[in-house]
Amino acid sequence: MNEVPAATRPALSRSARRTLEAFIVTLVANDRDLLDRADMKGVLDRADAAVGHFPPVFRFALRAALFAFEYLPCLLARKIMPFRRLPLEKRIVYAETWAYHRISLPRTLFKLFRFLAVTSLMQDPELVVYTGYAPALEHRLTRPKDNDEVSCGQGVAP
Amino acid sequence: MTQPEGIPMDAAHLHADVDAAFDAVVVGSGAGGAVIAKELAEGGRRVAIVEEGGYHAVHRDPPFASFARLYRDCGFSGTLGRPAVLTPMGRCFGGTTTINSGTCFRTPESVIARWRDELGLAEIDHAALDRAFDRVEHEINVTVTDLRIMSRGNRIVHELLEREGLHGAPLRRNVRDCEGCGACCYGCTSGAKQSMDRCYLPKALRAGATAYVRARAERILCDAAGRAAGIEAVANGVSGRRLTFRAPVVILACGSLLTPQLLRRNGVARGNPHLGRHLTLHPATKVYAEFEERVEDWKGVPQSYSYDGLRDDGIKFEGASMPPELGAVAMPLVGEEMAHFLKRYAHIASFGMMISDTAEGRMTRVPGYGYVFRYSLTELDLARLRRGIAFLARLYLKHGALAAYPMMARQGSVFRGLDDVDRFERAPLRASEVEVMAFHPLGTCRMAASPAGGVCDQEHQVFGAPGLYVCDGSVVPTALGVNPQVTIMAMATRFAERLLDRELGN
Repeated sequence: MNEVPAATRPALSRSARRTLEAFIVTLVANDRDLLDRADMKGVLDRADAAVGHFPPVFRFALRAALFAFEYLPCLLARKIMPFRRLPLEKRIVYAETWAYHRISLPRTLFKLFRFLAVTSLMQDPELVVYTGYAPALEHRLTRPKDNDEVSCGQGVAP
Repeated sequence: MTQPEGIPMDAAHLHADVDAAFDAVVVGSGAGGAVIAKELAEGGRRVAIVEEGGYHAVHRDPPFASFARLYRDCGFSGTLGRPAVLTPMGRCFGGTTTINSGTCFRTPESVIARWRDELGLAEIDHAALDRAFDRVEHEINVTVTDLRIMSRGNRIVHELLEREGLHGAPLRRNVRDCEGCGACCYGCTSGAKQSMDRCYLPKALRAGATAYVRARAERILCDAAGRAAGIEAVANGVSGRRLTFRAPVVILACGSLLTPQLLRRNGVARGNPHLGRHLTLHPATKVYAEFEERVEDWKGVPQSYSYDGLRDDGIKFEGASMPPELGAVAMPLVGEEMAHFLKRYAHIASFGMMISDTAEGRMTRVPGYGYVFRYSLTELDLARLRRGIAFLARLYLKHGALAAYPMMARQGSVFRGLDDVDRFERAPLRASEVEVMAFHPLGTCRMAASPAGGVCDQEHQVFGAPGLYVCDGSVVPTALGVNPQVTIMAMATRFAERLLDRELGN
């Protein structure tokens, strides 16, 4: 079986990870039921791994968009107040502005953030148990190997 | 080393370049490519299959991890426009059939009649296609889904429709001994789904076909007379080996979003105004509903039931259940509503809908990037989506749902009662507010009676390019209104019969 190659270096910078963390907290309104169960480092690592598999253009767009998402509040408020430093209520309002914007670009980028945030969060082992999805996932992950699992040929055809 | 029986060669591990001659070379191993390859190989022809994705005998990744392994661009391929439409495609041995829901429909008779009457496709007749449908359905074991293995979300809609005096039907799927583990779209866990890598491709290889995975076709070779003469591909990964397959018959089956790009990059059909146009998608959305009781919609066959009551309006309802890590992704909620939705996901059911679209997308070149597709919904498409969303939301809310969640990117889009649905139907709706996905891109190299109407003739040959054929969803001339895999396979079966009779001299 062809393994998906692991990303060789982090796809998200430390700053991008912090923005994404603040985004996740905002997306679920700092709900402690969810966030206290989740291992945030693991969530961000999963997000990083996912971004590592994105096509290069998407990776670049995502990094640039996260940067813009973080620092646009500074321009709007005319003071050094990046997204992650805003109070939660303001962060939610700001996130909604992107999510429901009339212009397609911020809305589409928001979808990308949301995709990354929700998939990474909901794969957290504790949350998988919390939602009740664990047995179904376990069934898939522990499926015994079929007899027909054979590697591809690696030579030259006759 | 020779090729192990029944599985492909991995071009990424080649020790040397490949240069070989065949009777036919097929680019792509999905519903079109696999069928034509198997039929030609069993007809005694030397066939090469070139596939860009990898080969995976078993699927045991978590759903999202399978995106990186089995989907093109990690599942992020799509079209730009109002709205941007995510159009996931397979990138693996077996193509999109490996990651689709397995739903099987024959081409509706009204659609075939339209092709004949409006587009002049007199040779795509019922007799020829019916024979092909029978053959395909036998090969992939099309069977009606057992109610017992349907997902709870599908059964809920079945029960609610019955209460309303309406009747849907279990879907027909290409499976053998399906246990309903709910992972059809992430690579079938049990191997029950009869995707191309399970049925057609092993048969093609046993009949003598040669297949290379992780090889990307880049150049269409032509002889001095301008006739197609083969394909040049490059291995993915570090090997970077070149693979040259020489053949008098070249068949492109890369899918509707990629085949026109390959043609355009090679300067084929230059000047044909239909190349890369007429893209239809069957835009799809769904409505989630929260119930008091646990639903656990990830158990059972995700797409196993359908309702055709609004078919005349171009709306088709089909099941669309998903696990938490992916189902919740589509919800355009922020803040407490999102937290509530995630925490209550075990109580959430969902059902999907798609429309026969009247919009047509087109391929555009972006300097420095490549080709993208632009596609925007028409007012009629938007009205159909609105009607379908309202129908599902009403059905849920009339029968005990606590809330209905349409995929709408605007504030206050959660329906708590029927009044909210009435308001939704009256309020203006912008195309960009609807969250839409699509799974059935068709029509970008459409078949036509003459070059004035399309890219390929009724024998699948590209106009003005002898020896070069297209055999995938891109030749399907219009939206079908139903899942297209059986249509594509039946057209490929018919094409194979004719090719064996004619070009390859049976």
